[in-house]
Amino acid sequence: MKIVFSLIILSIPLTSHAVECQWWQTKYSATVVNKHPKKGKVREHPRREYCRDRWPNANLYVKQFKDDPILGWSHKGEVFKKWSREETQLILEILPTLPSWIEVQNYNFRRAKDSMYKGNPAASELTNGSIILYDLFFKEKNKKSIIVHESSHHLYKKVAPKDIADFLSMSGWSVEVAADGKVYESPPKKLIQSDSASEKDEDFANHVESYYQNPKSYKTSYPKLYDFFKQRYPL
Amino acid sequence: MRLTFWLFLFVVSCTSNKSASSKDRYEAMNDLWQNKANKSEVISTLGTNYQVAPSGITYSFTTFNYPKSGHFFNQANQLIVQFIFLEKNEFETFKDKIKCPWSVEKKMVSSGHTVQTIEYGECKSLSINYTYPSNLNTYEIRWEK
Repeated sequence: MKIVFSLIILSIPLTSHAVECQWWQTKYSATVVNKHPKKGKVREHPRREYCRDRWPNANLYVKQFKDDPILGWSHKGEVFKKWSREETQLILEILPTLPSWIEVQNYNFRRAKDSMYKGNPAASELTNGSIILYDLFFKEKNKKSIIVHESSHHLYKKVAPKDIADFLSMSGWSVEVAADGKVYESPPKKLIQSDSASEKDEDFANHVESYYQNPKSYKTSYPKLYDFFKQRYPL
Repeated sequence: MRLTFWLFLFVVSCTSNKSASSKDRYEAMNDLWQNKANKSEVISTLGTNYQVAPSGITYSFTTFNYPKSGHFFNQANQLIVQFIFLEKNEFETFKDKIKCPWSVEKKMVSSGHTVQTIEYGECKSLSINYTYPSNLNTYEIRWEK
């Protein structure tokens, strides 16, 4: 039985002559590996062609592109669409260049026409780990920073309570408890971006984006927060 | 009923050095709620390291400055609202200890450019509700009618 199995395994490379590669891969002709001259344990490798990803991890990342809409998507009027090859390629080129703390492998990427918010290039759906890129995204110059921003919304979900409290304090948020027993968080007077006032995680994402995009300038403007992010998200 | 409550206070004060530890704070809070405690009773149970808030008091997290729990009183000095923020593991223990028929609803909620599913739980019989995620990525447990 073992002999039959071994024979089957050994026969696989011999019978697979024509290698079909995907569009995100390139076909290469392999140099034939000769039998190891000293130990004699490495057999001659008969395969002559193989596929190599054109961009690092493309074969993994490409599975994260989804054409179907998000069920129950609450942004009314937004229309999901299919990814074009050019768009997918553009993202496949960007993803391997991003820092590991972005956790690219955890997201799925969706494509939609226009955001319900004017001038918004991207959005995030946190429950299913989706990042939605709108038409506008593909016209923007700072595409990397936009993906970092969206990833930061997902990262925020993992931030520990103490770290959130520290971030809020350093960013300038104030916390008040009202007579109705509700805790209200008021945004900083000096905002890094105007939409930072809308939510804490938006402010967090704006800060991470700025830290990533221009760390020197960010360090000058927000020295404490620079250290805070540097410890957690090294560049 | 009152005697039972004071006995409860005595036990808490003996076992936790006049303040409930964060682990069982919510249990003490539930007892305070059931007994319609007043401000002094809340302080006796949870400790004197509180901050004054409008119509109530709050207690901070031990390691950082953010309210961990809050307790609010009506004009008759009766506890009418209280909250506590619990981390996920604390919440699991809370659910184990405070037996209650929870009705849970999940809603997809839009907030700015992000959309996420918020979990709302309610136990009508004990007048407790919770929201997750809430402030600080925690569960927010509220006792209110």
